[in-house]
Amino acid sequence: MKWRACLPALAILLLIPTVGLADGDPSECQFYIVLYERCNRTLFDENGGFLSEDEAYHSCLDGNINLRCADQCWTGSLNQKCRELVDCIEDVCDIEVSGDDDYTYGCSAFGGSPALPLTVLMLLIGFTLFRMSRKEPG
Amino acid sequence: MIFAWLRSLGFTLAVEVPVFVLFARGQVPAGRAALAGAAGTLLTHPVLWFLWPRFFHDYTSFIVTGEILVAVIEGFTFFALARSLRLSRAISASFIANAASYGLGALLRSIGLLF
Repeated sequence: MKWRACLPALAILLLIPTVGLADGDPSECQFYIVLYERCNRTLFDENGGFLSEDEAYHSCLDGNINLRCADQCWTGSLNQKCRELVDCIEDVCDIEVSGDDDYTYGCSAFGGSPALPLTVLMLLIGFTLFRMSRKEPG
Repeated sequence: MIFAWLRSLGFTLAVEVPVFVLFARGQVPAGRAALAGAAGTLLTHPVLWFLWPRFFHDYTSFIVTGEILVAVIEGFTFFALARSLRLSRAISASFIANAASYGLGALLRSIGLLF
């Protein structure tokens, strides 16, 4: 049996331990952890307090988007006011915050993220190039 | 974060390498196609994870530019290592392989199978 016949089995063997644990590319969480390090490990929680790395990561895993807002509201001052965070959440996420203490919103992968349009764009580019390659002589 | 990256690398290889082999079928031996596809992924994956985020403030800009850059680099790598394959075919394979790994990852995450 040629070894390439084993490729699908190898792919499945690799997929089994990874599905449920990781994604194919950096998720927003990984991105925020890099941001977190870049901001001298001082991102804010929903109350304006500082987050530890562990807290930041789990907050992100929980779908808490205020890390994004904290970063985008970042002005170089460590003393961001809660009101500014709320304004930022409303602005960035295009939602209306019902109360000052309600900052937690989930951003699904195919909801507020570019996952679907980006996937479609890449598929379009790929299949367009594929058609071109079939028309080329030789 | 290293373990998360290694798991992600495994997932990416599992999705992308068969796509590269499929697109090179009949033109490049499967073994060489698999190695050429894997080489591109091994080259670009750490860049996308650890280096590229440092240039951006928002996730959308990061992921859109990063994925397209990765697809182009992997396409050229695949073209160079697979040989006997047209450049347009190599880059098309790369775009579709990366769309598959990124899209599948996002889809599985959206239904709660991935973190």
